[in-house]
Amino acid sequence: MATSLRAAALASELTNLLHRHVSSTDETEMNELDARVREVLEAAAASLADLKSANDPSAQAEALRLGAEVRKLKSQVAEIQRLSREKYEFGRRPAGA
Amino acid sequence: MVGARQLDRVNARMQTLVDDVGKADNLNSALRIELLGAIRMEKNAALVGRTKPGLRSLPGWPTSMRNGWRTCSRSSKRQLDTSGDANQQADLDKFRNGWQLYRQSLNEVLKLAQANTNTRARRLLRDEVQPVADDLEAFFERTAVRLAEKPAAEGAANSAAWRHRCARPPWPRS
Repeated sequence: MATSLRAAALASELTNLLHRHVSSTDETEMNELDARVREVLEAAAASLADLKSANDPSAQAEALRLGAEVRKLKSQVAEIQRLSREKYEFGRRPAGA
Repeated sequence: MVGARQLDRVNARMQTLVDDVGKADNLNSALRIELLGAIRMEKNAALVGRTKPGLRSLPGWPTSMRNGWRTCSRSSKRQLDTSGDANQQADLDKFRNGWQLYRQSLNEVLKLAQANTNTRARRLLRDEVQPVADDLEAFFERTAVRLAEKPAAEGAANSAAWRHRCARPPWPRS
């Protein structure tokens, strides 16, 4: 039970990482957060893939649905990371603007 | 010259605002109040007595604010330029400088409001990512509880496999 809750913590860890990304102004930190976000998303997808093959029909169906949600989530997360990096500073335009 | 001091304060707060673009929405209303305070103080000092018609359009921030601001600015500039009181000229110059700085800052704030990427990122995170994350979390928790409630003979294998998968997550913990 306690160990399975660790898998549940993936979701809150993802949102925490993204909030930190938006708040951060340090390029190195944002790169580290990008890597962590990627790992968390992969771990979530792996956990769902495990449950899809588990001997639990209701969990299988739900895992299938959430697997699709996680795939969509990846593009939204990428958009957040892109917006977060375009930090608009007073007197300085973001690159490419 | 209370209005000039108030404008200095407004400009300082403008700088704070643009340093953290995510606060733009909250600070916009505070700045409007301070701006009105600055104008009122000048008006009371009989230096910008004809600014009121321009200010009437300010509540429609930020769309009609530009028009209101132009009216207000032209009116005050006329007053400042035509003031015949030589003793107050230094104060008038100070106020005019503060006024110009405020206008520059205001333009920057309007640009920030449009290109406020941090706010847009937070909105996307709140509206699109958070619901799916909550869904995932609830699903993992439900699954854990369901596996724990299964009869020992049937659930032991599943629970053991689940514990094994979750015991050592493949991502580094902070």
